[in-house]
Amino acid sequence: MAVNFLTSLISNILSPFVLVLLPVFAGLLIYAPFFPNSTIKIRRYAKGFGIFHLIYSLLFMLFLNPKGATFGFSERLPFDIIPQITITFGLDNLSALMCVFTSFIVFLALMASKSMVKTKQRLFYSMILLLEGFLTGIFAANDLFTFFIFFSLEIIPVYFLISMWGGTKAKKSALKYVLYAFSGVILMLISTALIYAFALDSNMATDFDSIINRTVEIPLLVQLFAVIGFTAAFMIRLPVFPFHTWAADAHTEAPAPACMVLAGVSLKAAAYGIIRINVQMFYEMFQIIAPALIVLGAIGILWGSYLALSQNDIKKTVAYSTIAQMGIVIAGIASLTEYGLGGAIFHSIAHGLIISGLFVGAEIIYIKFKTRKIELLGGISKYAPGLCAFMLVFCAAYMAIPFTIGFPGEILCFSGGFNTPLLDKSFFLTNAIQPALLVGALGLILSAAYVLRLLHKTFFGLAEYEYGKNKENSGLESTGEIKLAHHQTIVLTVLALGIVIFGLYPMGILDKISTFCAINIDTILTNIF
Amino acid sequence: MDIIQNLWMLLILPLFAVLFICVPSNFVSVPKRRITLALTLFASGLSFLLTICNIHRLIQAPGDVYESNILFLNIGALKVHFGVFLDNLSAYMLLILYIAAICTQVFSYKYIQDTLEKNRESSQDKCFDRFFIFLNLFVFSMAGLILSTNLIQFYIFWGLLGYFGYLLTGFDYKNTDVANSARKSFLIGKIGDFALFAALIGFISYAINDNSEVLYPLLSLNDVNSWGFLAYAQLGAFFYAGICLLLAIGAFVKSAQIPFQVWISDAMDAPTPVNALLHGATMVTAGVYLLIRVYPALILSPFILKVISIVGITTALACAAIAITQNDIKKILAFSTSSQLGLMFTALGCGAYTGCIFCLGMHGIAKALLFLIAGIIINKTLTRNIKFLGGLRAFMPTLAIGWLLGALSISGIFFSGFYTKEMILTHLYDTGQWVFLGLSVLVGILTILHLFRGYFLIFEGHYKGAYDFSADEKLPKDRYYDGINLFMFAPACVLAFFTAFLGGFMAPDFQRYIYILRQKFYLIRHPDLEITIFVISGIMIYLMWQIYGAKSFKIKRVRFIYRLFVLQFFINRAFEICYNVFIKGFSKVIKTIDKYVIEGVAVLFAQSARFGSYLVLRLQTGNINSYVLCSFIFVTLVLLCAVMIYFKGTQYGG
Repeated sequence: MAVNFLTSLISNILSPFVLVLLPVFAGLLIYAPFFPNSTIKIRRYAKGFGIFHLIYSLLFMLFLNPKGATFGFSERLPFDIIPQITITFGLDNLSALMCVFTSFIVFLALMASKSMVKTKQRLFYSMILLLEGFLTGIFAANDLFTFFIFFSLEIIPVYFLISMWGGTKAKKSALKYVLYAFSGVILMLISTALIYAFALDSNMATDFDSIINRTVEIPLLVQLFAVIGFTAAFMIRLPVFPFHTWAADAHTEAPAPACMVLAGVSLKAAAYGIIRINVQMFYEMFQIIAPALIVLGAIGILWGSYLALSQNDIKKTVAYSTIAQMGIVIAGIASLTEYGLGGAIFHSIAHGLIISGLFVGAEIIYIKFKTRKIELLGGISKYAPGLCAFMLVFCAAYMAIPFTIGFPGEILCFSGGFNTPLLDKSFFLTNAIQPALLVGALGLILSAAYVLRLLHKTFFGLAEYEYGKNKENSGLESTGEIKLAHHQTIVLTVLALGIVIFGLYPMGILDKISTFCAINIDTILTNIF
Repeated sequence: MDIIQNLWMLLILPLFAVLFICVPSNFVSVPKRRITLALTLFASGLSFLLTICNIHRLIQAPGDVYESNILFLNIGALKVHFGVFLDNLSAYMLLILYIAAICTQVFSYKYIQDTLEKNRESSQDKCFDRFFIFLNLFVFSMAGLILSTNLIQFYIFWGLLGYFGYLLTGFDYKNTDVANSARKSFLIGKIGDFALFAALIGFISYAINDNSEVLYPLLSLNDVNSWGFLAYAQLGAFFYAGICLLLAIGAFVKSAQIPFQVWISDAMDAPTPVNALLHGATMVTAGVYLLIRVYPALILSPFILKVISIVGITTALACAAIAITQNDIKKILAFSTSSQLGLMFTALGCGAYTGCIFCLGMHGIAKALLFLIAGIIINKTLTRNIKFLGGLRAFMPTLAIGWLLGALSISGIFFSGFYTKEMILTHLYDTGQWVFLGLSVLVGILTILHLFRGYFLIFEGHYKGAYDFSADEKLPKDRYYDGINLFMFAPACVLAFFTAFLGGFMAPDFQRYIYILRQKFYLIRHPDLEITIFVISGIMIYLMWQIYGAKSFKIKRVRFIYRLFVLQFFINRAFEICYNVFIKGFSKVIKTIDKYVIEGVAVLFAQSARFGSYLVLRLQTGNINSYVLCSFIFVTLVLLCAVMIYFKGTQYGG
């Protein structure tokens, strides 16, 4: 009885509106006149809110039926902002998983910012919280308009995060990011408008569920234009091979906590968009470009790996390797198989965890050794053995060593791409899928090459870097080792534990999305294959 | 205890050891190193006992297999299982693993301490613990590999093996050379991972299309026959051969066959007990073990079997020859390992299934013995170059006996190795594969040459080293173990015991327990073959004694051929060039293309927008006259258009 009451109480307080708008208000609240003007208090407030939001979004995941296929907790704004265009929120299993992941990474980013962000902290924490709200908005949106709004709003905090706390070329990189992102958003705007014009014309409700259910009624021409716009937008933001140049600059210049959110979650919002909109709604047209996407993904794996190999900056290496990892994700999604799709979702979460760890590690090196140039470092494991141990775990996961989180996603995506039902059809580049993936699997060797290059040139070998010569490096202990600060240790430990635990037990994540994948792929297969 | 629980225990025990090693032990007075060693030995020793129990159980009920699975990955039609699987073959492999593991673990206790002291390590206890953690994790992954129920699990542990092998090889990572050779051997190993991954994806993609319930668990190693046939039927002979070739390439890389033998000579920078365990007894055997496991599927493609035996015999000959020219004591043993594994591949390709498996284990133990002896010598004299050794028999006679034991066994003249080589050669003799028989005998001769060259240069003649044995005060007191620490001496003795007697103990019944269907049994001995080989071996040993021991005549070197062998046929150089071209060079090229072409296009777009704004800007001159001119031109154009549209279709217009 009491349990029932508690259950109903909790499910009543779970509102996606609150989930999305709370971080936004929390971010704005920092500017309220009554808010204490101490940086410590602001930081504690932000961290406290982060953990609250994590718990709140976890509740959503717990109270959602894991076998359900439709959106739960659906809510709509009681009034229309523009006539006939509503704002609705709702979560299904995939969105709930991504929401939890978002608040998890944002919480770790807030933890890590203590030593990494020293200036304009009030603005910084409010921007991170705003970003959290907008990202949650993308994942919790339940119609195209809401999705579009949050997808474009997300650009603003990212722009400020890069340009205000970035490195030397921050302004330029931020501008580049905005230009790329907005050109995607404009294409997306056209497609969204097109779908809305059609839907309003034919009395179709515009939330995701009804579009997904009635997607067959949408004329192919409308679908075609929609798919072109959406895919282009998502390809720019993911980033897929020819549109990747913004990503490296942005990730190199942004401060590490922003990088964690940007590379860890924001890129995955684009992958989520492809799954939600292209695969779920417009699959009839998406299948035509899917083979080309797989091939682009395979090219991206090699391209990104080679670019990562040629960099001299730790952060740049990590940033370029993101392109390679996203190639695997796009190949998994475009394969239109259950395990490919599941593997892509799994791999995007895995990549989020790994890359967060690597960015934190790179930033700690930068703080302690005042440089990120690979050739200036070398043998620093002598000074930072603890950091070296953590980096070994992250790097193992990046090389897809089994029993780390990097492995299951990779094998699922590749076997999905190799076994795609698209092979039965004859679209553009269909014949190239399998050879391209076989060549793309060479990324396995290349990933080992760039990861080991990074490890060996910074951590291993003779200690070339003379640390502790000048007085300002005061973190030195009597043993000559740098001690990690407590919050850094916590962040790295949590990430490493996540990597190992979900590597040993990948079903923990895959169970949440297996029904989602099964139902959607079934629909696709029955309708078009 | 139930046999299945036994098997799961084998996987759990090393992990528990790791867990307890990580726990700080400030509250007990025993030194931390003792505790670490005790925990490790407890795990391995208990595993060894459990394995003996399992073997006992298997002997009572021959032909039984035990299998247990849990679901590791399950999404859609793809179900990856994870479990334990025991049959006679895996029991045999486990036995070899634990014998080698226990011996090397005891050996490492002193060896690693000495190494750390030599390197003046600041935090010795931590390094010591790190080594034993890696060692335990390595034993865990090897046990998992041996107990794999399916090919995907096999790949999982294959990857782990590579990673922990890398960590152990690069144990002394502060030395740049060691770190670089660890990286190189790991990267070359990754080629094998890629090949195996590609083969795996190929098999998975057909297995999912097919009815996967037949194949429980997916790509089961217990039932290779059925999925082999299904895959063959579905893929056709050509693609099937391609996938099998990828499998074989994976095995070649792991087992250091030509042209991938490069990594094993680089891996010799690792601590010697690591060499004994990884590159003598266990890790390098993983490739052969893979092919043994999927042998029923390989039979369907005779071409692949031919490829395997040809690559095997090439490696066996070439690496044995390379080993003759090496002066580094560990590299002699490394190339010897490569060559012996090549012989096993040959045997497998020619159908000597049982002989191959028998040889795998017996060679592993003998090679571990030789590595441990090399380790003792290196630890004592601080040199790896045999040119600076010699005459050690006077100081350490037991080691000389041990080396002779191992050498005779590996060459197949006496002791365990004799039975294994006999089994292989008898098979080749019976099936009439004369070319391979002749070449295998040649391999045997070359093996004698390099191992006994090593013996005579290390143990006979005059001592040329820097270490002063006469100043060693321990030496006269305990002559029985030659002034060697017991922690190093005892494991070598145990291995020597097994090298001497294990083969003879197992040989009579071996074929009865480990065989493959439709295999011929070889119970007849061929005295003519054996006597021929004995005579040849005797002559060869005498020859080596004449050359290196008595120095009665000098061999003339053909400089070019000698260099060819010393430099491993330039394969090492070729790999460096490949790395420079395909990895470094390509990355530079792609960086340039990315910077100037792909980013260039984006910049072009941005600049065109700027150019447009420039044009518009230039119109804003502020000059009234030009504004009037512009508006006049504009109005005229509009009027012209209007007039043209108005008159379109009439007789005045176009």
